[in-house]
Amino acid sequence: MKIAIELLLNGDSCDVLVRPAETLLDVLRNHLTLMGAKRGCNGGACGACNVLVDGRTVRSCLAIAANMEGQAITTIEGLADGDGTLSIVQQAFLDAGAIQCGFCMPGMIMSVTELLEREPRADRETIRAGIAGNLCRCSGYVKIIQAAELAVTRISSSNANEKRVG
Amino acid sequence: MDLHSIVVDTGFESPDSIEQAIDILRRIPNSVCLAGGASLVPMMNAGIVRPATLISLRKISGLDIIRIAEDGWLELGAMAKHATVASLSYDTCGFGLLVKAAGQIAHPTVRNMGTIGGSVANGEANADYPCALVGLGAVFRVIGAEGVRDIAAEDFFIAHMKTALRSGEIVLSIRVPPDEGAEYGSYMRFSRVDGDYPMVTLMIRLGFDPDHRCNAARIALGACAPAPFRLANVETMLIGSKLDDDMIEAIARAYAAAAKPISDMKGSAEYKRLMLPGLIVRTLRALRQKAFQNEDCN
Repeated sequence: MKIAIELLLNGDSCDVLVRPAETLLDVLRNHLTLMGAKRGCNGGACGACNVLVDGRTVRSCLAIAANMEGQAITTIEGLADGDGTLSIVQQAFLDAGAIQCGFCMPGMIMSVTELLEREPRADRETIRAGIAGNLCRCSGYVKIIQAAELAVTRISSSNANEKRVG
Repeated sequence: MDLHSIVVDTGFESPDSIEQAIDILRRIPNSVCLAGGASLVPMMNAGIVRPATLISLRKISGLDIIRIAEDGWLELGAMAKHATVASLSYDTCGFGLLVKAAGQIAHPTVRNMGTIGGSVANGEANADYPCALVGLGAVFRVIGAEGVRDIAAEDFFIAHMKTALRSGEIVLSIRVPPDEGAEYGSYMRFSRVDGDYPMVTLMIRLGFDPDHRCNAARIALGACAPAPFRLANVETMLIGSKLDDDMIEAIARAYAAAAKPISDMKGSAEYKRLMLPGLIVRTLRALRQKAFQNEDCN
């Protein structure tokens, strides 16, 4: 059995044929070759596959694709502007040198993006709680938290309230 | 074996009404309801569960409503997400403790997905909600082909992954009673890593008269037994007491003795037995201090 669904993916409408047991992660990686979201544990524990659905992070490995009809999905590929300008959070991760092997980065950046959309002045404890469900296999959490703090600083110092975090 | 090759024959239905969902559940053997997916989909991905058909409950309107009913009970639709429950704010003790328990389930992203109905129907009795809801005296409203029935939380959880939900039934809502004199309480969960399934869950509800004598008691211990449990004789023993240290230690001993922890990746049974009494004592002492100094419950 295959089902035709329309996904609202990174601002574009996207028609895909999916099997009922396929997850959003299967569809992103296997059908649409969007390789940003990573398959780590495939069980909801590691956070490497996090994407935004209607502005909230979701484990794409736990989201049944057939159930996603009509929901706005943003992956790491959709964070930069059309001209390639990175989002504040992405740029902060680069500038803080927070990226080691990079495997956890897409999920980590999606979690921080969601957090700072809701709490643009998040302090260190809030950031730690916000990325509690994202594992970094390099254990490079110190710079990841520093990167999130840098993003907070940039949001508040620049024309923060006009520009979206994501 | 390639896991993808063994799941090809799963079907998918997305009914608009609960009646349609019940009908599909009755017609298609081995069909399974899909709520948030946080429990079901990992088991599908691991090849442990292979539903004949997934019945998405997403399009059924009203299943995620949260409200205080006319009788003062808090009513949570089965599709209410953990993150939504965790963001609520109540002045009453019991409802506040439920909010606190919801905010400690797994991680933020999982709380964005998981639902209260899915959590209880899945029957993972070690999770946060089962113990919290048994301790709060919640009642689950379920619906099947024969109609609606209510099941008390403590009768619902039978053993690991085993509930009183009959084949063909769907959890409609979870109802939590108002405080009714138990003005104090505490929800404690213990895990070695934040966000893990807990090794111990403890929900305590107590009421005191102006003399600081206990006049209402309800204590549920979970995650270290096949299902969350209460000890009626210990709760009765508490009535009239001033919750002195001897009493607190007696309660901790009784509950620890009744627990049946198992050895697993979270710790050995021996380790869990050793730390149980201390955790219970610590929680009760903190609660006593809060109650006797007339601090707010939450």
